[in-house]
Amino acid sequence: MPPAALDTALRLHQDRVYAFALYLVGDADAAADLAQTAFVRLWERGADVAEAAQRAWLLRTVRNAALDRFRRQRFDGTVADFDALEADDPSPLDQTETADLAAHAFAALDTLDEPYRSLVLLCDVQALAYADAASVLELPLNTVRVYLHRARARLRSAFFLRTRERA
Amino acid sequence: MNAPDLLPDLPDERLEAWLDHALPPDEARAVADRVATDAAWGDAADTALRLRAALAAAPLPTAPPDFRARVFAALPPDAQPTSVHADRPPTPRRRRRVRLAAGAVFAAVVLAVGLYVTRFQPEPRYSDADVAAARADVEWTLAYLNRLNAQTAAHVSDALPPLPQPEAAR
Repeated sequence: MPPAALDTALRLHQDRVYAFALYLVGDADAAADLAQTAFVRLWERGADVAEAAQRAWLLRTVRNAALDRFRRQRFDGTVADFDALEADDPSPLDQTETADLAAHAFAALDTLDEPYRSLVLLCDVQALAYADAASVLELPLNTVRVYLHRARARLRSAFFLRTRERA
Repeated sequence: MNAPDLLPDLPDERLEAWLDHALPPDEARAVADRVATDAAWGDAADTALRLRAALAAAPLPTAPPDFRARVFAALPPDAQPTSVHADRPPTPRRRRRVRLAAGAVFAAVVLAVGLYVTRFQPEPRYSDADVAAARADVEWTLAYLNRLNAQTAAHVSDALPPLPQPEAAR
């Protein structure tokens, strides 16, 4: 892959890939390492990865690298240090109630197994279309729909338990 | 990281499918009725929507500023970019300049052809007013071309044939 093509891929996808990695592992340095690994592999694969498929390919690679990391290190962190995640612009999360809700949501997300957690991250946090999520996870589209509904139901239950405990 | 089992008194994933408009019509009607009449289902639907909104509004962190440099540093020396913007697509400003330059050249060609044709036509008889009006048109066109030249740095005058001299100067 020519350096200019890699540069274009970086400009288009680096934030999304990094964000996905950060939500998966919850550590900024580790997330940057994982995202870097994905882009270096993309450069190595070169023309094997069509331009239109790069985003899904990068997200899939970063997820696989994160899962490898979990397996190797028995990673026990949270999904993300929610307070450490900074938005570029002020968002409704600045409001205490909403921030509380989001913090609980992400804590509940931490209780989900794969691929449910990745599905929620891809579809509900990163707003990917189901077809794109299917491509990332290499699952049939219908399976993605079923899994996502299951993931959301489990997330809702976990969220309900957390908020009830706090109450 | 094991998810707790669904609580028996809470709606299951059919509710999520319903919110996603992914249920067959009869099943969707049943869930809608349940949501409308059963407080637990109503609350669950409300929670589900709030959860989705909270996740969608979550901040999307951006890659560190040195991320691009990190990636290229991990590649062999022959993979380093020569210029970051070597492959940049034309910006709207560049495209506008090109269009203006093309327009100026086209106008110059039209003017040159017009002058050439009119010069070899049998001389019609024009009144003084006609000549003054034509001269005003030509002066306006030249002023317009000068302005285009200034905006686009295109050398339109190079494409022009020698301008005909006014009758009095011959």
